[in-house]
Amino acid sequence: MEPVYLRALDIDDLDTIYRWHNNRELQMQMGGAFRYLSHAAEEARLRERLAYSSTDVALAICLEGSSQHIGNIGVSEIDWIARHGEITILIGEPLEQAEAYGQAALRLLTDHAVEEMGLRRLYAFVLAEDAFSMGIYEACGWTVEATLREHAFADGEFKDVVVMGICMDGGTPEDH
Amino acid sequence: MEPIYLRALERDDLERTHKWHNDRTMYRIMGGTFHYVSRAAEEAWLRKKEAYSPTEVMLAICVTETSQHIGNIYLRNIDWAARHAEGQIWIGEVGQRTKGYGRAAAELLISHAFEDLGLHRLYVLALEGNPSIHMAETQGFVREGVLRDHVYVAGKFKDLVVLGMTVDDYRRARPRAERGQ
Repeated sequence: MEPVYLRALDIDDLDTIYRWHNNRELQMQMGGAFRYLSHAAEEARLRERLAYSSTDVALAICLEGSSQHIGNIGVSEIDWIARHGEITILIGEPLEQAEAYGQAALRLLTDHAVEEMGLRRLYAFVLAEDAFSMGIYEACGWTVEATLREHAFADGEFKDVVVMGICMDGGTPEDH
Repeated sequence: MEPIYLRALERDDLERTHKWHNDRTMYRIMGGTFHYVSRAAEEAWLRKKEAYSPTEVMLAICVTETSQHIGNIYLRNIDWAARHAEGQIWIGEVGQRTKGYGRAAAELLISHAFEDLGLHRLYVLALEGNPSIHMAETQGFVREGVLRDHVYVAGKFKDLVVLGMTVDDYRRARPRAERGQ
């Protein structure tokens, strides 16, 4: 597998992200309700995400050799007191090694979040039926913490959503 | 007659919500982060919250007999596609706790969510060990999991319990007659 690197998302990424967000199949897999998104709306959204934020980090996942932009990864909802953040991963390009690239990107982002930002807990929401995303988190040592029954609506049905999480020191059971 | 009623939050409620938001003991029960809140900040918050919002319902809990405003109850993060929302409740008046008002208010909010708004699912987050978890379970919420070390309260990282109620849970727990139909 070719190594990946992360870089800040940029305004040049607009067309790529616009294409991914209007790909119904891809959005369904991510668990969000599908919305038609105009190029203008995507640009506004992207500019908002690109502005410096203390609670949101938005990054592009790129292949080392070709610099091809294959997906996005980010930490949002950062709570500096509880020192946690929510991870989202989108692999936009249909690559054979997509899951392995997702894992590599998650490891890089986890290092950044823990070593450079000082976060101590990360969590994510994943559709229970989304084996691809579950596989990425599980391979990186994450735990299923909760199953929110019928929490999402996608493809005409209410679907279960799983909360996955990882605590850097494995949690502190002596505290509670 | 119900022991309490719900009404929309109003600007006149400022005095009380300001006092409650500055009560650090409440945050130790609720699991949120305590902040010192100025009167001006509270007023700005209340002005924002009194405006109509499609994603939030912010209500005051009042004692029927005296009209005393004793706490607030909310539906937040309403998602109209997934038709779910998060419920939150606090009885700010310390002397009015443990009188069953919270349970009665939650019951009214639950039926508002399912009968008036047509929601499909409610969820609540509570500090592990909080008695409100048991209350929620007796009202038809199901414990769905634990977010480990998710909040920082009184010097420690603590677990947060997620409880959920689908519309099926709601209908199962309440016979038709009881739902006022």
